[in-house]
Amino acid sequence: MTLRAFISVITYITLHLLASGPMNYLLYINNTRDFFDIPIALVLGTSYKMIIAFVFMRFHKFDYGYILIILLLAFITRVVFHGPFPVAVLAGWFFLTTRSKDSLSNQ
Amino acid sequence: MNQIKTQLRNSLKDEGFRSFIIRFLCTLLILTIVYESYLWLTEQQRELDWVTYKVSELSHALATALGVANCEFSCFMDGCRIGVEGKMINVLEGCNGLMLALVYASYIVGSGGFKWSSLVQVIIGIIVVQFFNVFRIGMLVVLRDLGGDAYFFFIKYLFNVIIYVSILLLWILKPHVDHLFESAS
Repeated sequence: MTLRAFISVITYITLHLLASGPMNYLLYINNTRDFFDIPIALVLGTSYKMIIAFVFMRFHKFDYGYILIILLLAFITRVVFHGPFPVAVLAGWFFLTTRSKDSLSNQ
Repeated sequence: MNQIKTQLRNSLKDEGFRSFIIRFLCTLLILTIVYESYLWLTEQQRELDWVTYKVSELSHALATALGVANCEFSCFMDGCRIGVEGKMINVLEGCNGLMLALVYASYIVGSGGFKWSSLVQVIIGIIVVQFFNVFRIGMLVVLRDLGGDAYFFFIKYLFNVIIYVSILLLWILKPHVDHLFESAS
């Protein structure tokens, strides 16, 4: 992994967590553990996280098709399986950046 | 818009990527079913799950070793409480790091298929994630005891960045582990 890629990963995770922190705080002050109790925060927070992930993958020059599928994968991981959204994004990103480059149309 | 549609179609035609996505989701689904079944069983027995209990117990031991005086530890059906009276930390099932480990494992199987080397890497990964998780919770007990805003910074940012980067490092090591297994067999 290049230094540039590593820095971009750290930046992406940090920007993602900048949204997670206030969202968890909102849960705390609203005395709930369910984000559906604060729908506006849920929509804003999720949109922000999606945009950050999108920018992260565009930074690595991924096609829109790959980005949309990885975002969907991360969304399913989060909503259906309650797993971590950024780890699913990183899984898709890492798979595409480390596999044989000649099989990638966009690189 | 047409460009996006074309690119989406091309991505779906990419067999390697498609296989990765399908294997990733199938692995995550199977592991989640197994884990949820285990949680359901422990709930039926009115007990706390073993992973959350062990993570809490080890975190308590770490906090005590790091010098937190009068560090208490008690567990209930929904989780454990660790720390000094008035500054306790709740460790719930969602804090046990297992979902993170399952997503890590899904990548390992998703990218390389199910092989013996995958199983070894999954086990090593789960241990590494749990090691960082115990370290995270133990340190949080210490920071909570010391007081101040550092507690919030560490819980929300630093520990998460460390744990996510550690997973990335394990993925980077994957080809080397695969190569070791291939050389051995």
